[in-house]
Amino acid sequence: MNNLMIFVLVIAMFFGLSQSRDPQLCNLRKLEIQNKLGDHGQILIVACNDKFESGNRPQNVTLKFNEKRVLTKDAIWGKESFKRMFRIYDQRFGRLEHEKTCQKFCILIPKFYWNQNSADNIERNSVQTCSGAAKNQLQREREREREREREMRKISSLCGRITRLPPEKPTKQSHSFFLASHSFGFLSDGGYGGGAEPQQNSSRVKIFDRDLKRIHRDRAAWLSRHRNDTFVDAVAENLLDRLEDCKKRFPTALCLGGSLGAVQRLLRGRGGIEKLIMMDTSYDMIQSCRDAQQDSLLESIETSYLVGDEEFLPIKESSADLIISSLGLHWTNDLPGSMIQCKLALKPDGLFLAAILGGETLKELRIACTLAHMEREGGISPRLSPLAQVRDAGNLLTRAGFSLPGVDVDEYVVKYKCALDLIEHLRAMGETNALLQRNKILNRETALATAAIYDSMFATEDGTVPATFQVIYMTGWREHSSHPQAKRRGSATVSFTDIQKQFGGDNLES
Amino acid sequence: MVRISRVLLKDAGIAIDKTLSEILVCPLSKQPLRVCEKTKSLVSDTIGVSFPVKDGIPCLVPKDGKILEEASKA
Repeated sequence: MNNLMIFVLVIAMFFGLSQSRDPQLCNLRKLEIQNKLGDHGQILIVACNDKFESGNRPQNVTLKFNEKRVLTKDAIWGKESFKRMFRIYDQRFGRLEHEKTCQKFCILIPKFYWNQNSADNIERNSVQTCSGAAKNQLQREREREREREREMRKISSLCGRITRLPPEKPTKQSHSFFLASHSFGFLSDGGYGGGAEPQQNSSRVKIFDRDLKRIHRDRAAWLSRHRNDTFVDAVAENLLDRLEDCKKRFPTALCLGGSLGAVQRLLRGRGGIEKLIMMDTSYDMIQSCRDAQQDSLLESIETSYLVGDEEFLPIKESSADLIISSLGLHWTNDLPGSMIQCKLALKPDGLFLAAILGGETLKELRIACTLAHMEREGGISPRLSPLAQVRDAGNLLTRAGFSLPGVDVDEYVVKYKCALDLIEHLRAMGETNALLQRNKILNRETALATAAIYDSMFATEDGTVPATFQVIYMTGWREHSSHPQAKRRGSATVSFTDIQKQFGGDNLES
Repeated sequence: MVRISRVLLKDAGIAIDKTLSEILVCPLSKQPLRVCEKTKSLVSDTIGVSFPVKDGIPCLVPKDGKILEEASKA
């Protein structure tokens, strides 16, 4: 039965193609190609108004489906589908020299492939024009399509065998086989998503969308203008307070992304900084910092501005005495890598100070998001980024090669009027979701449900909703001869047993 | 005084202060950068990429860089 179907299909393909190569049709400016298998819509025929020459791309393509014109503009087609179509077109015309001036271009695409693509809206449009009875028919058709899809898969394997036949057959046939095998070749590509994959074939793991984060920070620059954020200020103050504990002075300091403005404002001559370099990925953020500094007329520190990426630090080796990063490094894809770059940029005995958000951050929001998603959408998608744990922070510092590493944790609970205020605050800080695999659509329903769950689960007696921010402070120094170091193993001159004897070892032995 | 000089330098087009020009390197190859006055950019000769300088702020994000053609390099 299946074999019969296959033969019918193949013959019909020949028929469609041979008809399109009819000399009479060739002369027509506008082609009207009948779809011989149009009843079930498994094959689409593309006709083109433009004259085809080699290297000339069709401008105005008409697609026919069930004898109705479904689209005329290429805009509805996804770019990938067009690329694929043109690839086939190029291959075809590469093979057929004599057809170069042919006015038409015929391509056979199985309907199921078409369905897998972004053509859902087109189908919906066609449904709108149909009556209720036609709708039922369309549903039945869809079911039949699915069946046919399965058949087509079997056909594709057969077609593969046919194309390997010796080439003494008439050219017409080999063309259609060629086309058919290619149109079935889409299957192996796994549908529409196939084209986007090579872009992510990078050797490094990417978790965050750095470009999106840049845009977020641009927005944050506008949202946080002329407004001092108490939470960010508290973190910056806590971080800069560590400078007072050091006797050393730091003439050249580099301030990396995150809460730049707060660090700049709260520095107040601490650490003996003479030259300050401000770096961020967002140009707008840097500019707003520069404007803020010019307004305040505080010119005691020579400040330079720079747009750069923490993942690709553009700083010469051993040139900075101090690197401060306040709430910025948790957005880097390669945290150890950027910390190693920081270490290299530091002078010997230089200090690295960083504050990043820890894993306990926004745990309430995490719970509320998960619940709301389960309730409204029946599944969850990542809304909050994975964050470093406290125990990781120490390992990170050691791995990056910092000596005298120090890690401490602080938890801040910020109270908001409602959950939506929290989101506004996150936006103003530029801390909104930038995961690469995020769900790009957030339903209004789900968002409001999240807010409602948040309010009902975590609201306190006074009507405010708390949000926890866990901040991990990391301190590390670039190694220097002046740092205390453990002695070499086996270099001891006194044995422990001797010490025990000396200091009344009797009680220790028990 | 510093403010005035900054404004003047801004008018002059390219203005990267001394601190920056001393410590900046190419973000990808970590090799020194060359200042190109004509195109107002920082050029990394080792990888053939130029980074723009906007309003005195050098933009050294790898994505902002433009790959130089072989002809213009020569």
